[in-house]
Amino acid sequence: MDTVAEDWTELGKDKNGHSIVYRRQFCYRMRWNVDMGQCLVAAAPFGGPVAITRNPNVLVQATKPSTKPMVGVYSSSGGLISQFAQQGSIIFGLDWSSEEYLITLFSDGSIFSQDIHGTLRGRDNLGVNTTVLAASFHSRGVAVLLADMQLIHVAYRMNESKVWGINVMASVGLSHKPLCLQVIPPKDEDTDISEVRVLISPDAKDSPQGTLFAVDFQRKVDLQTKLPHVHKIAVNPKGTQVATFCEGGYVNILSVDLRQYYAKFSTKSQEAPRQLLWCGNDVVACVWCPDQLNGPDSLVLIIAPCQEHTSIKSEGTIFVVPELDCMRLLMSSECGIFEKVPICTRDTFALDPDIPETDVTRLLDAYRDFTKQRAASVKSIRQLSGGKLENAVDGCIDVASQEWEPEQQQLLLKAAHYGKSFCKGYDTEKFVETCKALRVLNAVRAAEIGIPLTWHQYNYLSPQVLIDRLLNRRLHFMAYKISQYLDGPTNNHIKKILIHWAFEKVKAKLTDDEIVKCIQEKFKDCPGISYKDVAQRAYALRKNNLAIKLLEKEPKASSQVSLLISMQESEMALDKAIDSGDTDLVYLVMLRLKREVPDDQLIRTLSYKPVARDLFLSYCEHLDQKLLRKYFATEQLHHQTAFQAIRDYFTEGNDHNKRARHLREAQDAFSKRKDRGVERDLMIEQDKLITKQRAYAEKFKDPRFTTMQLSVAATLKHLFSIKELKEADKMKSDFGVSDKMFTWIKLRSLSKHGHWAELESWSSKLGRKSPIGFRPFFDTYMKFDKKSPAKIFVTKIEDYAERCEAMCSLEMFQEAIKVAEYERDIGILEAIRGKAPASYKATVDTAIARLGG
Amino acid sequence: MANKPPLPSIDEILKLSQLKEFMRDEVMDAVSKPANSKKILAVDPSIVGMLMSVLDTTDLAAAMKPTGVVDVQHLTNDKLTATPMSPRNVIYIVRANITAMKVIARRAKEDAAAHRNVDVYMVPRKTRVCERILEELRAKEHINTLADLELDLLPIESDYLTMDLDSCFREVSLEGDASSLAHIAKSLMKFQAFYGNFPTVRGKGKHAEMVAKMLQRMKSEVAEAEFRTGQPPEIEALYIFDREVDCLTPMLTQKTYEGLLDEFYGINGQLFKPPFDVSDEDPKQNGKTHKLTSESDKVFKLIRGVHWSNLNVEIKSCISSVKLQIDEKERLAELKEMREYMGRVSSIVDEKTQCAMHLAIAKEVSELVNGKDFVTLSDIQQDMLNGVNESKALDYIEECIFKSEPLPKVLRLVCMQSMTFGLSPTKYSSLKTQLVQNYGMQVLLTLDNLERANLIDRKKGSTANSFKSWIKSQIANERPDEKEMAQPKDISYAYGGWVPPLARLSEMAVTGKLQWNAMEAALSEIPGPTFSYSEGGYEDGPVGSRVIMLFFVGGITYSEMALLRFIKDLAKTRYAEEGIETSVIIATTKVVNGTNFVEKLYGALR
Repeated sequence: MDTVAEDWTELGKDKNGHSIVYRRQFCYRMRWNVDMGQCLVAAAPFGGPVAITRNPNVLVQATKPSTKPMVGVYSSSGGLISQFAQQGSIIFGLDWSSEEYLITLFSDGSIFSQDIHGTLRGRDNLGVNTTVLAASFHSRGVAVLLADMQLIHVAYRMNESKVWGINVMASVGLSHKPLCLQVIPPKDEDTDISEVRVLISPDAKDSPQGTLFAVDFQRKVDLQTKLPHVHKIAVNPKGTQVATFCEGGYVNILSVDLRQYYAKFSTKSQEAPRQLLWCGNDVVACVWCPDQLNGPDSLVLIIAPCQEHTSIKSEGTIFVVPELDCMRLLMSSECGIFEKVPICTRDTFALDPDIPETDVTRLLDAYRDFTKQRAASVKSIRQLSGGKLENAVDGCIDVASQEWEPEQQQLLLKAAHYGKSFCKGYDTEKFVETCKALRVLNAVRAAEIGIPLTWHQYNYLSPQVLIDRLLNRRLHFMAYKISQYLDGPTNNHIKKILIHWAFEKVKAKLTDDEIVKCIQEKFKDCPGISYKDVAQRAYALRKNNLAIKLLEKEPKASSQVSLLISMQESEMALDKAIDSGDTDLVYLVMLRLKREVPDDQLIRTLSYKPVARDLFLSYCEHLDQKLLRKYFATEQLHHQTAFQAIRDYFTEGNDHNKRARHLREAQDAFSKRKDRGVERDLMIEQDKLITKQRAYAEKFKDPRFTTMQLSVAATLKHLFSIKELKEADKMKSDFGVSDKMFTWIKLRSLSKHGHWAELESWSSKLGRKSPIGFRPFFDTYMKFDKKSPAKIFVTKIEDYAERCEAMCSLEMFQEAIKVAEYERDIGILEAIRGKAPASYKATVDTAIARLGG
Repeated sequence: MANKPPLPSIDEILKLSQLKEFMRDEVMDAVSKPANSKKILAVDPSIVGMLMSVLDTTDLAAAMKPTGVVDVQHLTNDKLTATPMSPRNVIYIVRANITAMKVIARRAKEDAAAHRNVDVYMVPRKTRVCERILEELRAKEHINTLADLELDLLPIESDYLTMDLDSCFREVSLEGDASSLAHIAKSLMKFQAFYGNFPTVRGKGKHAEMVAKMLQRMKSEVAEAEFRTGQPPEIEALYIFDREVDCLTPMLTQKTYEGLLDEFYGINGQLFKPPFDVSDEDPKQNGKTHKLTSESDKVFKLIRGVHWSNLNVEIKSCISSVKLQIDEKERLAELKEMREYMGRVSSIVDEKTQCAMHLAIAKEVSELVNGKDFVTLSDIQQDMLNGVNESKALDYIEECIFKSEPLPKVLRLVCMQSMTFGLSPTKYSSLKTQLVQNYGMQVLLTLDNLERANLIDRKKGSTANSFKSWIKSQIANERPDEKEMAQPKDISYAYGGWVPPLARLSEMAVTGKLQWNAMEAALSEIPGPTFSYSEGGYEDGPVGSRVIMLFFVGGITYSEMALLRFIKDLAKTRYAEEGIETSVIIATTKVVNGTNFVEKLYGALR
């Protein structure tokens, strides 16, 4: 185990005088068979995919004429992820966005954004009839210099709906293609994209001494760097320093604003390297390829700030990918990582005698003793007292997390676990989390997946983003397992994964039912998961039937309806809305139909759907009466047309002609139905009534006859109130008013208005015949406290019980007793005894006795 | 003067005050925005009662004052009454329906023209269609905030909640607009979030079933985790009943104290303002609005559900119990006892005032119920239920028409006539003619509505038949005598012999006399579908206590409520023997009486 440090390379010393060491970690034997020498290569950071296409500038013997350029996308282990023909013209350059979309820039200024499988997300053109002179990609955009010296910045992914934003930067004011162009990206993901700057190194013809221009969206600044002509520029991951490769073979390291000068190193190479990049934030690497070196090997020269350097030689072309904390070496035969050895690792395994033995080392030794069953183990542990053991356990976990080999991780974690068992109350969370994370890392690092993430990168990226990337690679099962492993069986990410999986599944060449079944099988354990998104995907793929079948499974009615609407399946949407019982939804679809569909068709559709129809009717009643009428007419609901006409009648105010027209409409409509004869007759009567009322208004100079919308009865009442008794009689016969009704109205009106004389003469003419009997007459007089005229009616009351009651209320007890006795009604006699003064008690009692009670 | 009594507690059965406070916070939040600025509040008159209830106040303006509301107005079709000095913020609280949107649209435009800032809150929640209508009327751009104000199922007393949706029956049964059913279902979802799942949902009637189905659907839409699970449910079962099952009962005149007050004078929410003097001694009591509630009025609690014939007896026994308590003072010797007594004094005084007030009210009421009009009406109604003297009933209806009695009274009788004897087309036509001749042509629209809402059967048809046999079976053979009124044993007392079907159904639900599923034969006689859904995972049967919730879609009367409380008492005694506490929670869209029930169905004139 002490051989861990054997391959380490020292590159300078730290503040304490200890060596800063770097190691080269072997990752994969490549599964591909690619010669990168003739290719354009773009590799995404964070162990991301590698896109490779033939370099159009390298002449090769054409196998087929005018074949479209092919792009191959590989994992870091060289596994083919996808391969597709690129549709555009000559590829100028390509790179990956931070969300792992492949951005391809073509010589003619067109630009594509594609997912990892080559599915086009968006395309655009940066200019017409132009060519690209130079371009520099960064993770959130690309700066492109066109032949007309216009500098354009394309920002990727503005928002959900917009794939990118294209903006022209300040004028560069050059006449020749510059030596190099380098974007300084915004500091981090949260910084506004408008803070992008572009460094331009002008050609000697534009600037004989050589300088750098900094261009942003507002202006161009000549930085007057006094550097010789710069051929390559690289920015470190933190965005704090830049490295330049200048004429004469010098590598300079400066602050990002190019004001401070940190180091200068002579590479002794006149030819600019193919790649200039940073390995982490401290060291710079230059890459020369075999064609530059006229040999079979590539050379990577690694330069530390203190001028110390080392190099890596490799057979064939090498492509080096700058990473957050290291660099990834892609070769034709293997993939590896070159990284700084973390301090904890260095201190644990260092062979350097200057570095003192650490507690982690002691714990590790103690554990080794333990595995060999040596007693020294416990003794060593004992020496780690006073919190030292806890630190050692923590340290051990840290070192484990940085290790690449699972055996090595296991050893360290076991040691940590061993030490942990001696600590009281040690919080195991760190241990558990590290174990979990390492399991995930080992899984994605496996050659089949080929994502060589470092511990630091994994934490920077977050597990969720990693899961997203697995999804993008269609590694659903792995994503599913990881998500379940990290966050439990039903978390929201599981839903996302399943939906993503389903997105792919809808493309499958299976029958719709098979696909639905398959998806349902997977979704069933995830309550509340939405089928709508999947259905939407199917719809986007023009698999409408599948979309509808998937929607059947969607639990949320509103989701079903909204998609069906956008699928133009309004009628089906209406059915779904009705099924849901959600009136609001029904309304919404109905209103949409109303906008989209001609009235006739709408009415036809709705007539079979009573729920929607009723809502439609109440909507129309408030806001579209014309349509309402049309509906009634189409559906032959004549009585409803008539009722509508009656409503209009009442809103028409006092316009006699208009009112009459509404009445005639109502009358016609009622006539069309056999069962509405009364209503028809009532319309005729109403017509007659308003004509009559107009006549009265004129005759009696009383506008109230027309303005107050009086009924027949009210008109009669009004006639009585103005003592037009003859007219009232005439009206009675004209309108077929029943005797009973007429008598009631006359009695109540005359008494109410105090027309007692008229009342008296009328009632006396009645004799003993009244259509309503005489009790109401009696009651009326009593109501106005007119007892003596009331007396007249007492004897006329037909019902003897009522008569007795009336007599009692007039205190005619004697008469009452007589009537009751005559009618042989003991009950009434007893009632009289209750009401009458005590003096009548004896009379009542005798009467009762006579009746044998 | 005694200290202000503490706010009545409504937490006897469930912690209903939690729900109420939640709603109160929502109201206060809404009217507090924008903060620190003065505003006008314009409220749909139909919501005012709810706002007062939720804020426990009789003076809305005063209650709103701390939030910066300087003026509370009733929202009408007219312009906002505003002066140049008026605040620049207007808050509207409206119902989410088309009519209200038309008013809001016009108002919002006027406000925008006057540079006023408009916030609109929709009760119980905004709907997409209302938003659309505001868009169509080009008013949405003038509205600053358009938000929900979830005033839905509001706790009123410890055993009673209402949604105060007075148009529910009209919308659902007449217009075919199920929006209020969705509101009901949503409010029940909210209720469950507070008090746990309903393990069982059962009920009767088309719209009740629709609500139950919506509940099922909503539950399936809510992801498991978001719902309160794991906790034991506090409600054993929810029963949902549809007013449409029985529209006959509201047509009848009520006979209980609270019911009569509502019939004669009208109770607005819980508020009752007697149109007569209630006290000779204390003029302050006269012309005052009283809050009728069991929570703070012990006397009312005892007598609210009592049949009128027994009213005086009950009040008098209250009076003597108060007297006993007062007399107790004389016998007190120990200081400790005195102190305890002094603590009760204010409540005794309150009780005394309440006795006096109810006695005065009861006097007025009994004058009316002993009057000839009331007696005749009662007799006619009884005849209709018994199916005797059909022509006498018709003559009576005619007489009422000729005497221009209030239209609702007449219409109630016409509906009853149709539901009991049935109306032959000839008789109906002649009634129609007489109604039109007396009340004007617009009656036709109302009659059409009543027909469409199945309150009147235009074609004396077969539909009423099955119900008629039910009616027959529900009439006690003899009218209960005085003694039975005093000590009622059966739920027939409140309507003088008639058993309201909804009360009978509730009895089955609450007393568990018969198992619901085994009741099929009985249930099938009553119109409308019967349904029962159960959710697994809960222990069956009551453990220690059982709370049954009864929800009435479309409204119930005060007398029906009295019966439900009576049923609860029966069940309570029955289960007490088994050591189980039984409680009933009554919930409805609105407490109704025949008059306002019929008035809500008037043929609207735009």
